[in-house]
Amino acid sequence: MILILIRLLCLKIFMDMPSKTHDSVIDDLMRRSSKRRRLNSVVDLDLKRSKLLVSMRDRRAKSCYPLGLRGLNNLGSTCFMNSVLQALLHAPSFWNYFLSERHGPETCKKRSSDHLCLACDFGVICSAVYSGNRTPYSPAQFLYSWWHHSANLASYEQQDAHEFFISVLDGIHEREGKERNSNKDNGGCQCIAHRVFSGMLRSDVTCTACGFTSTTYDPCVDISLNMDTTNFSSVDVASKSVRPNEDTGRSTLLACLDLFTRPERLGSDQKLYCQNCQERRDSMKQMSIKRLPLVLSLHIKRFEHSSLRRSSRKIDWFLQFPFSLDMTPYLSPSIVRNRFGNRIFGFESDESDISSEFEVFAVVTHSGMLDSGHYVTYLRLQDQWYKCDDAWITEVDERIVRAAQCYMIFYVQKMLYCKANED
Amino acid sequence: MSVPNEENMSPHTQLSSHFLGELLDSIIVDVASECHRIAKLGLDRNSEEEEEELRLSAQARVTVAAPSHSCETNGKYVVDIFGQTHPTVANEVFDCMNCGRPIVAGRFAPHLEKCMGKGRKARVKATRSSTAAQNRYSRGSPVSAYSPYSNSTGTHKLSNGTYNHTVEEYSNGTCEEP
Repeated sequence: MILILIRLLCLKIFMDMPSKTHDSVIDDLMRRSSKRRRLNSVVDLDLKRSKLLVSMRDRRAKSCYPLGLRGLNNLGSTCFMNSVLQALLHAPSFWNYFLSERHGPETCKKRSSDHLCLACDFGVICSAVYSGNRTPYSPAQFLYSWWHHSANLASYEQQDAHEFFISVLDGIHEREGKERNSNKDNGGCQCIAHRVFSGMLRSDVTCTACGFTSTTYDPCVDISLNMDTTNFSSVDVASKSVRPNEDTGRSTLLACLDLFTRPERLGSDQKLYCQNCQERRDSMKQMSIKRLPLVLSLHIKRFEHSSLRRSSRKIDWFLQFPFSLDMTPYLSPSIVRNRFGNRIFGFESDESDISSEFEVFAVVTHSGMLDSGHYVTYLRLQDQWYKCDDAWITEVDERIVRAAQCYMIFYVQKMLYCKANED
Repeated sequence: MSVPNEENMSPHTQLSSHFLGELLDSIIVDVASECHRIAKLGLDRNSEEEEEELRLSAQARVTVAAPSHSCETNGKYVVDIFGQTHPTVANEVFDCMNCGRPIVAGRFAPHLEKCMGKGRKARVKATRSSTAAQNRYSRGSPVSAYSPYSNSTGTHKLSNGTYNHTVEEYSNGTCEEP
């Protein structure tokens, strides 16, 4: 359609105009209002308390490096566990909670019959890692507890780090949740796992016949992102290892987030019931983020499982990811507003007290083949990057991290990041 | 394309030319006002930061790929930041919490597998894991397999029936009708 082409041309012309010519007052206002947002006060207390505990510990060994840096022994193909543990052990306000002993042997009721508690075990690892002792630690008890919790995943095989991550949070939730959720009216689970990692996704399903939109909300502890494979020919995709054209601009994290929030036409086999039309109709679906968590965990779906061919393969492409991430364009108000040409709706102003600027603090990378790969975690502490490869902790330049093949990326709200790095 | 001479056109052509003009005008105004809105609201203010990140990333890849770059050697033969070296197979010894025998750390997992009777030797259960993997790998299914919320919040508008299945999935035998 010529009209569509003209529209696109106009869009390009106007978008290319320098934005600096616009009013800076609006910029100022938006920046100022974000500073007024306060952190959860409980998180504040934990931060202060854990910092005090950490400073009191024995600093005899290698005190020039931040406490909390300690290698984890590989117990036999357990790098998937070590890599995620390193990320969790440095997730701001998560490790502080455990180190402040808010969940400890005294408070834990050890509800399971075998007296195993993943939360307690995690607390033990926390204390060990922040103790100042630099000899690599063996998280054997944790592995044992986890295998009891996730019986179906318990085997001496390389596991998926993401599945492990979800499973651990679930395990901690189970132990914590029952104690903390005595009053249900504070909207959502108050266990530490959900307080730190849980956000809310919004799903809008629109009937293509009448335009009626139904909205549902679902909590999530992470977001799994597909990589955009559309601009590669089917011949390339069929081969085991795909070398994409790197200049496509598609292999970036922001492109994945765009894909995640793009309106998707549901197939004709997925017709959904429209309330307005009173029958099943072809629909469009669009995801957006209703509420961001304190710690945003992004999972890149590099492992494709084909039930048809009963095989799996790994997508090896490089994915660019930013160190500073602004999630504003993926929030529900932005997505919904954009759907209507950016006209503002008064009732959409849902100013939560969580800002949308994030800073990366941990990256879990996977190298190698699907079955015989290796997980490594890069941690950012006080603006220095460290590589955590099982028992070996080394300093690395940030460029190594930028060029690494990310699998899970952990971002924390900027304000929390700055606070955590204050000393 | 020059503007057609109005006197030489038939009324029919004039009218359609006029309509085309109106359509073009409204498209241009629509796009212009949207761009202006975006610019005024500062919705695109991060493009500079984004470009900077892309530039840093590209630079990093070039540096890392360069043969002169002393890239990270195999981590197993390196001294860590605390000046320690470690064997390939962790040699710390501790007692197995299942059977009590002292086990070498690096061989703990395979030992535990046999000790607990799990893994390849155990019978394959119809796992939550495989259905969970299916759910997670279908696009647009944000519900984590472990989410406990699927049937609890009041904000749900169950108009399209897609969320009913989660009630069944998490039931443990005491299934209540929603």
